[in-house]
Amino acid sequence: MSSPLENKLKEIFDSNRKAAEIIKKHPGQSFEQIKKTFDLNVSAHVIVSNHIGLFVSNVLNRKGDLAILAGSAAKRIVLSDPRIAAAFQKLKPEEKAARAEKIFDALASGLTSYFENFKGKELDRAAIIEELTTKVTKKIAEILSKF
Amino acid sequence: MVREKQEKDARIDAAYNLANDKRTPSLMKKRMVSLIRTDNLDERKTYDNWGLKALLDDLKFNTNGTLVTSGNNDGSPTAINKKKRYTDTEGMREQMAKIEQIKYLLRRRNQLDPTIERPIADNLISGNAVTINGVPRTLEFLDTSPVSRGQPAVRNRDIRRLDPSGFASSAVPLEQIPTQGAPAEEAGEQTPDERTADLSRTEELLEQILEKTGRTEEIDKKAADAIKPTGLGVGAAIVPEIDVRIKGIDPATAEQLRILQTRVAKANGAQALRLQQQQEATLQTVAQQLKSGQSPEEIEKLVAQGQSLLEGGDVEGARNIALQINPAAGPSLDLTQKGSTHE
Repeated sequence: MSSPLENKLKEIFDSNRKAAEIIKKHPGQSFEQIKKTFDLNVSAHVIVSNHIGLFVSNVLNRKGDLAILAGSAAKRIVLSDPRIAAAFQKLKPEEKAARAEKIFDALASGLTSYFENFKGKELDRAAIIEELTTKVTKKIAEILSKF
Repeated sequence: MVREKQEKDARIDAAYNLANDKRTPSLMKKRMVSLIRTDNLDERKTYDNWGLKALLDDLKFNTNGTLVTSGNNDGSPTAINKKKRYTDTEGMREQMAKIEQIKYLLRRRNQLDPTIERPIADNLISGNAVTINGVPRTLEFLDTSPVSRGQPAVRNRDIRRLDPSGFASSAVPLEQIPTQGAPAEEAGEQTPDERTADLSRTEELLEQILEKTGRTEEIDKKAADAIKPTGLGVGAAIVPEIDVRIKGIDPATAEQLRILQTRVAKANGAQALRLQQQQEATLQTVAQQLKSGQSPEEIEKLVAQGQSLLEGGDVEGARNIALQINPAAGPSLDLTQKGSTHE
């Protein structure tokens, strides 16, 4: 069994590795800027989990065609994710539309394929919502970073 | 009070779905039917206790017997008080909230067996004047159920299958149905399923409103707006001041939307706070690394060394590396803690 000191050391190494990764992803940024990104991500996660929760519930209760439900959820996420709003702030309307469409396409197809390939998975609604929320939140960050 | 009842209704809805699902094992079906039956009996006995009468008694009426839905809530006709219209916002908000509660209770009341006694509800639904505290009242506009629209009475909970504005969508999954003796949900905190049920209801209301105005293509936009925080902060700051900006929306529906949105916003705020607390330790480490001036690459190298030493059993070597990464961690890395607590 590990001693308390060993556990503490493990904890220190893990948190420092994680923090170093975060700093590498935000080169030249101050703590306040990084904190702002954290807060934005938390807001985004919460908002995305709302839409995903409703989407998953509608899919599992067979409340409509999967592709239509996925499209609706993707549209709502694009419209309400504060990270997208912040990233699009200074763009021209046509640029906004083009980028929003790219995000929408990626999300809608991702949500559809998740349930199309769902076979064999255990039906744990909370776990599905959490998994999909994390996937979608990360996917949006990934797309935004490529623009 | 209404929320408590909505939650109870949602559980019963879920039981109803299961009882009607071909895939449900027969033993579980029996259990669900028993649950529904107990709930029906319980509701028949206690519907007045849900506060319908108390709410009716507490409503404000104009002198002509109609309900006050705008202007002052002092019981005087709004026509005479044109100058004061919409000045008593708080009072009106309370009044509209009460009306919403009554509408909900009446709708639920209609879903019960039509043979049971329901003097107040029947009179209200039929539009007959109801005498409350000796004053005749008319509340016909309150009810929107199929029964009041002259359609035949439907057996118990079947009504929700027919009425898209009903509560079928607030059904919760099987795992949410409490078994007897299960502990009550933590007070005040919405579960994710309850939040989804609220969002679902919000969506239904928005759909109804937008269908009336013929702007159904806007539903996704409105649903997105409905849960979007007004600020980008987290924790308590995520709870927004709700403002339903839909032209032509009737005040009662607006009030219901406001209640739902506020609940969703509060649940969102609680979730955001939890996430923020989980990340607090990482953020502190980020702050400490930025302050130390060491590059992330250097830190990663030291971490790899330290972890390797630790795996090799060199605790003191690992401790020295940890102190190089964060000298301030010294007191918490006292070597006297080296032994296991079980030693």
